[in-house]
Amino acid sequence: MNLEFIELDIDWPIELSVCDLRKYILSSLIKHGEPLRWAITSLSTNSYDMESIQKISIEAVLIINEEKTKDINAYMN
Amino acid sequence: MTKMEPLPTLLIIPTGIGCDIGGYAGDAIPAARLLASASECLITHPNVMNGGSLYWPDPCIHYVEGYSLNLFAAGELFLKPVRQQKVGLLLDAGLESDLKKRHLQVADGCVASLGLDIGPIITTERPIRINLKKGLSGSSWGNIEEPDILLRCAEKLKQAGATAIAVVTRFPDDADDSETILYRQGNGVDIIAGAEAVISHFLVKHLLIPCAHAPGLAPLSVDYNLDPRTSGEEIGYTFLQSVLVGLSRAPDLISNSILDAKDKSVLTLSTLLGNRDLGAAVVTQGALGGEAVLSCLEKSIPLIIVSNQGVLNVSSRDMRLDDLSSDKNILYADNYLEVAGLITALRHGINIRSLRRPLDSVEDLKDLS
Repeated sequence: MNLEFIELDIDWPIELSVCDLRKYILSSLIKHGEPLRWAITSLSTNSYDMESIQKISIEAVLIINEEKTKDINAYMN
Repeated sequence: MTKMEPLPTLLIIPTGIGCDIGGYAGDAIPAARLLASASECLITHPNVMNGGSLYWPDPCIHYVEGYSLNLFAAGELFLKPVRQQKVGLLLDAGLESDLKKRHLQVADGCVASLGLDIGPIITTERPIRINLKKGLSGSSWGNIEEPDILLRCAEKLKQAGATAIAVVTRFPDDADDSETILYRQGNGVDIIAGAEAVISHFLVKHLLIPCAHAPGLAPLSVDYNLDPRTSGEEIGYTFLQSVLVGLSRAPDLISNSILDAKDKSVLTLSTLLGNRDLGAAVVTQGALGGEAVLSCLEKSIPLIIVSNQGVLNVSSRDMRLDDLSSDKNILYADNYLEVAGLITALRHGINIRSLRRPLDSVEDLKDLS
């Protein structure tokens, strides 16, 4: 088992309510590892426009379980 | 006069982001005491309550580590108040002999002078090795090089009867580091706080018992420009005492998934504290992108957003909250004094609108069809 710090940018679609944002972020993080601690640390707000997609920056520490990763890779192959 | 019921309130001041209040050494304890007095039931986390050598035990404050606090806010965990925890002590093999002895003496002192139940004690087979990191945002983070060793020792403590765990790991000495100098002078982020949170999150995730961390550091030389907010970390040899006091009465963590249908009876649930009981969550303007804040929004828990500047700028406007204010019950405050007033009003059923001017007239309901 290892811990890994990552910085990740994801899109926040306009149709996605803030009330659904936590699950949306978790579903993105889980692709990289098991989320241990994370937070949104900035949003792109240069041209705040409710009609457009916002970019969310996330910092996170993930648990990387090598055994699980091997299993997933074997399954994917 | 009838005494009003407590208003369970969650107080979150994120760790490692340099908040004006709560970004240093337990300098949010006065705010926590105030809100505990207003609500008579405050749930908050070690970053708020740990003041190095300084601490304040308050029966109205529930000390809940960040990972478990996130689960609590999401409704995946209940809190069960206890009279006393048996606090196991996990020491990193990286601690030098004298530094280790200092920590053991703190444990002895807490038993002798405060009546805490401390033990058993275990030392890891190898140093855990902590790396400190800083994100692009300026927040502090960190990593554990030997997580398996840390976890094995913690599991042994739990098997040996510990119901909570205090961890002391040797942190890199960084006295000359510019970050540390700025922090001690009240102008920087606590560079070790993020790594501390990672360690306690890691243990709580795997063991589901209260855990908290104290860093093992060599004493620093006197700084004549020290900010008072950091003083709690300068007046002793360890930061362990506040952790032991906090953990000694931290509530048990009861996973929603292990409660079967019988356990979920009204009688059982009435003895537990769950997110459904929360009357308010006090969160920091600029740090609204944390997991617990998002859970509160998801569960329609009333938010009080308070100004408390840190390095992040994830604001209510960026998070599209300003448009939700009316139906999501979001309130704003300039400081924790104002928050105490809002909590008092909520607790006593006083309409917040009645306290503000101008005051609009009541309106007829239109469009009944």
